[in-house]
Amino acid sequence: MNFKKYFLLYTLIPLAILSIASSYYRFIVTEDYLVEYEEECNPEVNSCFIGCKDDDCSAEYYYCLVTKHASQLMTQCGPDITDCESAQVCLPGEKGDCSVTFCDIETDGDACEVIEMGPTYENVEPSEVINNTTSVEIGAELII
Amino acid sequence: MICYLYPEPSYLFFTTGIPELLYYSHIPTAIFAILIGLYVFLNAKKSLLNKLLFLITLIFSLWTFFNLFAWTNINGNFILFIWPYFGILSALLSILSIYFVYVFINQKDISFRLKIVFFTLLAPLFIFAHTNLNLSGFNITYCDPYGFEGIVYKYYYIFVSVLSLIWIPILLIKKYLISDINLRKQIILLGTGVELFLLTFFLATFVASYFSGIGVLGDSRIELYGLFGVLIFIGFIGVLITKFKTFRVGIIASQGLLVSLVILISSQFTYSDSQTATVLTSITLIFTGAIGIILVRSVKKEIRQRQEIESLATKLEKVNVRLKQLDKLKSEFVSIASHQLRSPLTSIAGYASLLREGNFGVLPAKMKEPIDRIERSARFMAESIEDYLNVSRIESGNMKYHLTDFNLRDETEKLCNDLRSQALRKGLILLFRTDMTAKGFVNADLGKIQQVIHNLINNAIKYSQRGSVTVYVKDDIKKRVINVEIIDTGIGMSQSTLHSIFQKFERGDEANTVNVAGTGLGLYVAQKMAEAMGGNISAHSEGEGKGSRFVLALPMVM
Repeated sequence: MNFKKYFLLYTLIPLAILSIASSYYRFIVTEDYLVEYEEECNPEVNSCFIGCKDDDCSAEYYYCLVTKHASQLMTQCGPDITDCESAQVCLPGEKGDCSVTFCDIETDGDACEVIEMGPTYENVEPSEVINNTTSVEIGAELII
Repeated sequence: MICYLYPEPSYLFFTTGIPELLYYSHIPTAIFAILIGLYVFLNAKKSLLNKLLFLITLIFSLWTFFNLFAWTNINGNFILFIWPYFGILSALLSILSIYFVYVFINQKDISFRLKIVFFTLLAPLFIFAHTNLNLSGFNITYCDPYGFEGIVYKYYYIFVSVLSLIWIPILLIKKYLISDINLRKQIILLGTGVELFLLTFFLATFVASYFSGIGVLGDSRIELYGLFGVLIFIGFIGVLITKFKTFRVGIIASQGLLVSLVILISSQFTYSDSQTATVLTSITLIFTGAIGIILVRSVKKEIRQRQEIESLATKLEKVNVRLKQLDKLKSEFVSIASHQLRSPLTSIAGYASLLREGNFGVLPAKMKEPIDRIERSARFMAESIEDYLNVSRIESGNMKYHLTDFNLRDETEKLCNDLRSQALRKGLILLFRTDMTAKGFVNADLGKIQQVIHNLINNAIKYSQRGSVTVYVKDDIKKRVINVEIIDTGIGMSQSTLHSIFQKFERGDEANTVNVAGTGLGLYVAQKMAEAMGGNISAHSEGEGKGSRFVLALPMVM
């Protein structure tokens, strides 16, 4: 009788505890997730996204998007990536899902800024350039 | 990971560069909600409805706390850790609201099957909360994970919210259609409160989340407005508390609650340093004040009514004590009548009989008539006392019936044989006739049935001066009853007598013409006994001087 009466408590509380423990382990202990952030971009070299520095867009800045694994970034830069050069590139031997995304004029249009034609890459194989974004896979180094 | 563009909060929550509305929308609403929930819960801890209301406010406050944390903190790990619980708590809020409405309208817990349905709806959210189905990453530039939310997971908890928004009105409308006016008012209040609360909460959080996610909105500050829905909900709950006693919260407690709410809202002025916050605080204070005036009026009315009720209760208590004393006296009288009056009367009748029969020597002839009168009067008095005792037992519910199966036809025939000599002494013929299809068994108290039939035949003999008394036993298979009809050629009854003949102390006007003594209780007792055994007695007559027909109908045993 009591089991039926308190069925939701008996089932949901253990599930909630398990869920909290799993989330805690994943996001706080192992930091097993991707981190995305904007990095400085030189429009003379790459196709950059354009961002506004204020609500009125009186001043602009150029950026690309970097995606890294959080635990990897933590190892390279600590919790704060400000002034961390390793945060700007995908380093050789870096574990999965690291990418640097530049603006694609075909898809992003006016959001892009290119001063000189085409980005300049070193040590990057053409096959590693993905269709709508320019990504650098593990082991490659991008010189910005 | 740290969101490098934002300042670190002080004391976990306080930081600059966030919407001014944030603290106003989160802190008071969460405190209001939890105060109300806790308050209602503490007033009646065992009430399931109160527990559910407390849980709803607790979940809402938890959601608000997490949301405030996510708005003000810059540590991606912690934000991601709590992020899955926005969906879980939203869904819990929706399911608990359905549960709450169920308990409110049915006044009992939901079925086990429905609990399984609720569990089935919620379980996937808990199970997949920490997986990539829910969240896969975090944007430390914007300090949120919108771009990494799993679509399936997100749409699933939105589905649960939408489900509750549809489910709750359906439940309430179904109940509304079969309720009285008082419950209808409560249903309208509760339904409006819950739906507005869920709708504002759902729309603001979903819209904010969705449009921020796709980049239409710069941030999700629109969700701040959704939290004010809880104030509407609390307002309606307050009316239900004071006006309808829905949550069994005391009157004085309601006043205290109102005062604490006003103080709490007013305290917002102390840290509202912007014009927007001041205006919003003023609006909330006006809103709460308006609701408060209604509540206070209701409370005053309640107090007045309570005083009247208390006064009446005191009077009623005194009357009740007096009634108990009278009841005790009555019981004592019944006991005296039973043991101290009946026994001597039986002795008087017995000795009179012995004297008449010559057991104490031959009596002179002129003594016979007085002795007969003594015996008849004593027996009549004993029968009268028995009638009074029966009435007393019937009315107090103490009459005992020992039901057994017996043959009604045979028992009626025996009674006819016993009473035939009495009829003959009056010059009457007592006939017994049957027309039976079945065996004639009934399930009743044999002694009581004998008493009833004896009474009816005896009446027929007493009120007939000439002619015959016919006892006719027949059954009706279709109606499954056995009828014992007692037909006489006596004084008959008028229509007015027929209507009142089974009432207590009622005797027909015609009875006075034949000089027969009676208490007017015999037929009343007989009718009550017959009814207690599933039967009834009906009286029929074509008029005065045209005889009577009494029919005892009892359900037959097949």
